[in-house]
Order: sequence, then C-alpha cells, then structure tokens
Amino acid sequence: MSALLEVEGLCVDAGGRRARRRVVQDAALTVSAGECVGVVGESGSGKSMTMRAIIGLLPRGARVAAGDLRFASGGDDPAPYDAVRVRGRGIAMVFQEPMTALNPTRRVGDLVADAVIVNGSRVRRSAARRRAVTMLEEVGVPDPEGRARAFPHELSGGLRQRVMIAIALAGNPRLVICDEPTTALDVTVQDQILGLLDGLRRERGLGLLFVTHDLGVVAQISQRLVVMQGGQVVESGDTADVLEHPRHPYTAALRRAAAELEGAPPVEVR
Amino acid sequence: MSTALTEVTTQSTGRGRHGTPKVVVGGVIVGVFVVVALFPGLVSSHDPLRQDLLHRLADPTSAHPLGTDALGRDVWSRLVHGTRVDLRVGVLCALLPMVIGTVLGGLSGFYGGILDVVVGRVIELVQSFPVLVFFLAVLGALGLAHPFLFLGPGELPIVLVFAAVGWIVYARLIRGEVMRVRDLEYVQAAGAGGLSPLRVLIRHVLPNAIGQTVVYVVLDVGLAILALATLSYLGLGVPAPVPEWGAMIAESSAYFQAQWWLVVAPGVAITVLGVGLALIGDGIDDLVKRS
Amino acid sequence: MSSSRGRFAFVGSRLLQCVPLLLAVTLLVFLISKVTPGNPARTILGPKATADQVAALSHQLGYDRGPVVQYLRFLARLGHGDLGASARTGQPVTGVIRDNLAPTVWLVAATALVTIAVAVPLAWAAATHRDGWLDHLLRTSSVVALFLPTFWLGLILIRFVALPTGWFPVAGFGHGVAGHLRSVVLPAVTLALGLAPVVARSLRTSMIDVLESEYVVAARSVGVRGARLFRWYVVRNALSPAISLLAVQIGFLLFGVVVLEVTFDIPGLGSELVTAAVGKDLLVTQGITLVFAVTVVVVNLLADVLQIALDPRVRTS
Repeated sequence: MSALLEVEGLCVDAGGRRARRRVVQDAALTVSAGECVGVVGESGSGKSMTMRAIIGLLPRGARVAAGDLRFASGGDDPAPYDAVRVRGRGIAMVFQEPMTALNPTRRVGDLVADAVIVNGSRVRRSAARRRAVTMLEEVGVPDPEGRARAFPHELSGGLRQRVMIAIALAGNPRLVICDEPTTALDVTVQDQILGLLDGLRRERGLGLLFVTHDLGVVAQISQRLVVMQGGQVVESGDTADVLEHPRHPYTAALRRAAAELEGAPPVEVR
Repeated sequence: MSTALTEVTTQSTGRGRHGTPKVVVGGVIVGVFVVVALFPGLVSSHDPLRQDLLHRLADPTSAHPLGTDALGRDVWSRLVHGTRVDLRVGVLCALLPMVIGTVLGGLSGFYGGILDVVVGRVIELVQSFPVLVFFLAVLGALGLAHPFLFLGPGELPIVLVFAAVGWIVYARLIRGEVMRVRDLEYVQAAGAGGLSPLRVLIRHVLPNAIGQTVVYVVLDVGLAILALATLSYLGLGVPAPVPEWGAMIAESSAYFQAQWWLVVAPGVAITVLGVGLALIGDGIDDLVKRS
Repeated sequence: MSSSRGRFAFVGSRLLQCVPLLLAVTLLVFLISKVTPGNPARTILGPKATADQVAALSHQLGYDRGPVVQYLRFLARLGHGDLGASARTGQPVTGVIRDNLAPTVWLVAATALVTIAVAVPLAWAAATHRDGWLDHLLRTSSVVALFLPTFWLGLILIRFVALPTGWFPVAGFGHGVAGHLRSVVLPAVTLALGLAPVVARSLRTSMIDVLESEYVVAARSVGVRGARLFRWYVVRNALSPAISLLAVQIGFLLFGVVVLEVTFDIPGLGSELVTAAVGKDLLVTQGITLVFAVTVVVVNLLADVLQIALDPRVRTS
C-alpha cells in the first residue's frame, strides 16, 4: 500500500496572539491508500485541531507552529503541499454535525454539484447536476433525483450525512478525513454510515482518517489506530493490537471506560 | 427607550477585558457633569436667565467664557445650568421604565398565562409603532407641559412617553430570568415551603439580571438626554427661556456663521456626556460578561 | 414539496396579524386626540369659532356620543380617506399629506441607499479583518455616532460644507430631479453618518456568524472558494438576518428624517409634522403620525416576506 499522508512533529498553537497555548504537541501519523486510521481521544485531546491542520482550515487564532505535513497528490511520494490546492481533489473532510455543516439555503443536489464544479475542469452546471445525482446514488440515497432538490433540513440525519459524504467524494479525493461523522447519529444509522465508508474505502482505495471518541466505532472501522491525549499522540499501531494490549495507561483507561459503558466485552475487530 | 439601538451597543466592544478602565473613564466624564449639575455655582457665576441686550452675541472673554447669546445671556452659565435639566430628565426617563418593566416582566414571567400573552402583544405593538415619531405626536397633543413635582416645564410629557415605551427591554430581560429561575428545582421547593414570589424575585432573579439592567439604564439616560435635546431643538421640549442644550442650539442656529461656538458648544456637551455614559455602560457590560 | 404552500400560509398569517396591529395603531392615534383637555371640536375649529359651530361639529363628529362610537366613526372616516382638516389652514389633512409627501420619500430613499452603501462594505471589511484597525474604528465610531445629535451634525455640515462650497442648497427642495438630488444629499449623508456605523456593526456580527459557521468551513474543505463561496454560502445566509436588522432601523430613520427636514428646511412630512405639533394642530399631527406608523408596519411586513423568500427553513409557526 502506498503512503498517502505523512505527519511528523506537528505542533499547533491556538488562542491568538495573547492567549497562546499549545494544543497539539509533536503529533505524528501516517495514512496509506486503502487504509483507515482511527484517531481516538476525548474532547480537548487535540484530534480535531490535528485534522484541521492537515486540511489547512484551522480556526481563527490557531496556527501550525512546527512540523512536517506531506501528502501524495497524484500518485507520487508524499511531499509538502498547499492545502488550498489540495482541498477537494486530494483531501476532503466529513463533519460531525450535518445539520450545521450543510448550507441551509442551498438544495442538496446543488451542494454536491458545487463540489463537482470546483474540482473538475470546466464542468457545466447541468453536467455537474447529473453527476451529483449519480454520487447521491452511490452513497445510498434513495430516490436520488428527488432528494437532490431537497433542502438539508428536509432530510433525516442519516441522509444528511450521506450527502456530506457525497460532497466530500465529489472531487475524487485520495484521502477523506472524517471528524466524528457518526457521533450525532443514532446507532442503527451509525452502522449504515460506517458500512458505507468502509465500502467506499475498499472500492476506491481511499485513505480514511477517522476521528472519534467511541472505541467501539474505531474498532469496527479502522485497521490502524492513533490515541491522543492532551495534544499528544500517546500510542499508535494496529487497531487490534492497541485495543487488546494497550501499552499506555490512558489507552487502558479508555478501554475500561468503554467496557463499563457497554457492559460487555470490547467489540470484535475485523 | 432601550430598543434595538441599545441592544446593538451592548455587543461587547473588544474582548471584555477593558471593563474597568471604561467604567473609570466614563465615570469621570459623567461625574464631572453630575458635579456641575449639583453645584452650578462652582463653575459659573452669571444668572442663566438674565438678559443683557446691550451685549448680545459677544465674543468669548474671561468674563463670558463662551460669550453671550442673542439675548445677551451668558452662554457658559446656560450650558452649566442646562446640565441640571438634561441629567434630571435623563435619569428619570431611565429609571421609570426600568421599574415598570421589571414589575411587568416579573409578573408576566412568574404567572404566565393571559397576562403574558397580553404583555407580549403590547410589546409587539409598541415596537412596530414608530416610537420616536409617536413622541412628537403625543407631545404636540398633550397639554401637560406645566411643571410637575420636581420636573420643570415641558419635562413631564417626555418622561411619560419614555415610560410608555422604554419598559419593554427590562420586561423582556426580567421575564426571561424569572422564567428560567422559576423552573429550577430548588426554587420550586422553596415556593412549596412558602416563599413568596417577591422573595423569589429578589433572591434569585435580581442578582443575575442586575448587571444587564444597569447597562440598559445607563444607556437609556444617554438616549433620553439625546431625545430631550432633539425635541427641544424642534420646539417640543422645554419651553424658553429654560436653558437646555438642544434649545440653545436652536436659538443660536441663525448665528452659526459668525458665532459658531454658540452651536458647537452645547452639541459637544451632549456628545461628551453621551459617550461618557456609553463608556460606563459598555464597561459594566464587559465586567458582567466576564463574571 | 410542501414548503411552498407552507410559505404562502406563513405570509398570509403575517398579513392577517397586521390587521389587529394596524387597528391598534389607529386606536393609539385616536387616543392621542382624546387626551387633550378641552373640547376637541373647539380645538379643531380654533378659538374664533362660535359656540354654535362648535356644537354642530361636535355632533357631526360624534363627540357628544360615547367613546366607542367615536372610534368607530373615526375608523369609518379613515376608510373614506377623511382625516379631518387642519385647524390652522382648514386644508384637508389628506391634502396636506399629499403636498408634503415627495420630499420625504426622496429623503428616506436617499438615506437608506447611502446607509446601505456605506454600511455593507464597512461591515464586510471589518468582519474579514477582525481586530484590524477598521474593526476597532467601527466599534468606537458606532458608539460616538449613537450619541452625536443628528440635528447638530446637520447644522455643522451646513456651516462647514454647504455654505463655504455652495454646492448644496441650505434650504428647500429644489426644482427638477437635479435640484431634488442636490437638496437631499447633505441631509441623507448626515443621517447616514449616524446610522451607518450602528448598522455596520450589527451586519458585521451576522457576517462573522456566517463566516465562522460550519457550513462555510465545510464548503471550503472541498475546495469552494472565492466568488462562488461568497455568493452562495455567505451572502445567501447573511442576507436574512441583515434584512431584519435593517428593518428595525426604520423607526429611527423616520425620526431622523423628521428632524433633518426641520434642520435643512425641507418642506416634507416631517417638518409639517413638527409645525403641526408645535401649533397644536391635532388632526394634522394625527394624520401624519398615522402615515408613519403604517409605513413602519408595512416595512416590517415586507422584511418578513423577504426573509421567507430567502430562507427555506421558515414555515408556519
């Protein structure tokens, strides 16, 4: 499997000029084509900031203080990249809360079409719209033509999340970052979305970076795992390995907490 | 008269870290005006009403720091005495709506039901009515321009109109707080234990609401002074010969070309006092938001 | 999709809500005239009328009947477009309104245009360069602008701009389109100077909300940027709150127009209102106030309708 993304020594500062604090310290991870890397940690562990740094969309007042970010755009080896150019066609992102991540004043089909247009060369809107319907079908939206005319608030949570995935895939990216995409969904829908993402990964050879705080989810979907705490990567490795033989006390604590919540032994790893 | 204007200004300026300096600076500015209003004799020596037709429109001298106006009256003294009128009306115009609004909002929030609906509808009505134009109309019609209690001539209609309109913001604020507090468990328990609604209001609602209320009150004083000055300029406020900043501007506007200070000085007074009040309000807002 | 029907129903209900509102407004206006002590008929006819004339008018206007009847008669007369006559000139109030309408309309339109033209770019620049010098300037100037008396500013502009340069008339409405334009420029600018900073500040906040919203970040994350982002993701969503912000200002705009018509000696509804109010000409005051009140209600209604057209999420409550 060829390497897609290499992150080394990433340090991110937040808080602007006056309240500067380091929120990510020396983070490192790699993602290869066709593999899903899970990123777990509780809120404030720095996982979202790391993802934002990778895609170049850090919030106001935050900046990359140090580190190497390399991405393999176009089948070469990973190299430093311009986030603005790479967004959409190289790296894309799926967000947690589809109600707030979809433009409420725009029809769903147009949202996908927008992503198609900005990532293709000279695509006409009519062609983009047709492509959008195709994409909606691919992500499992029933009645894609009808649904394409709907506004985000008219769709269920699961459908909205599928739309977001369609938007992310519209530019044919090689790496998709998923920032807690199933947290806001209920369990049955969650399973469907996870299945969808896993399928897409296998069919298209996508690299997936899957951020979550739910160990059960990460066990289901990822092959490798990175554990973050307090802005640092405290453990990483194969998912099965890390979960069954945690080396870092934090990972062990996470596992215990998950087991307590579930009231059952940890979920089987595929 | 806190309407959308007040709500706009209370969006914090800066990041809320400058609360104390703002209050201090604003307090000093306003303090100067208050002292001048309370002790006019300290800074001015002439009778603001005394006319001296032989020395009209005189240039500023040491005896008359701002010269004299069209009727030979000392402008500086009129400016100083005008402070009393404006501050008196301003404070009243801010306090009265606050009291009314707090009571109505408290009752409405606590008892809900039909009272709540009625109050809500009244709010809607007053909000859509062009309030300020309403001022003019009512003031034109009301024959209440005579002195009343401690109010000077022409001041009562203004106070009444402000009271009729300005209570809304306070009512909304208090109502929100009351409803929020009413549903807290320990308050319900206290109520079951015999605590009267008034005690609830004082103990639980006021501490939270008082910061925001003070901000609105301070801003209202400024807006009331502005309204009074404008209305007096138009001829609908205090009657001549009472010294009032807006009226002074109106009286001297014909002479603006040569004796420009006659118009500029009262305007500066209005603006500076207003900005001082705004600073205090903004500063308190910052402090409240921080805690 | 059911949303279209839902939207029409919403507009319909808003229109219906206007009716009791307008009724209440007329009631308020009616009550104004009732509050004055003394005989209203005498006030209308003036001090020179004889007792017989006063009694006749009283009967005709229904002042000798109960208040409810009087209000109903008032409404009926309103319906016929009869707003009474001026106590000073005897001219029908509707005529007074018609004669003075044009300059006010020009002034309101000019002020609205200038305010929007200034406030929108200002707000955008401040929102996209947060904590920059423009942002700070906007924040401080909006406070000062609030407390700067409009009429005073107008006088200053007359003294230091109109008089020395001679470009703008210091009084009157002028002749022809060019004359009208020149005479409303200075008052419109005066009023805009007071309104624009406040409006810009509110706009800035709603623009920031949109710029920092997750859907903008999400759109950018797939490569949407530039003009496309601005038009479909930012403006579309910032427009709705902006409209309600602007609609709220209408009351202050009208008041400012009234004040400035007096300051700049423009013969419009505003200066007529003040003259009538000072002269205790009740019916004219009442009539013009009614016009302004209706304007505000209509503007708010239009703003609501516009918002519905723009935002697909709004439905019947």
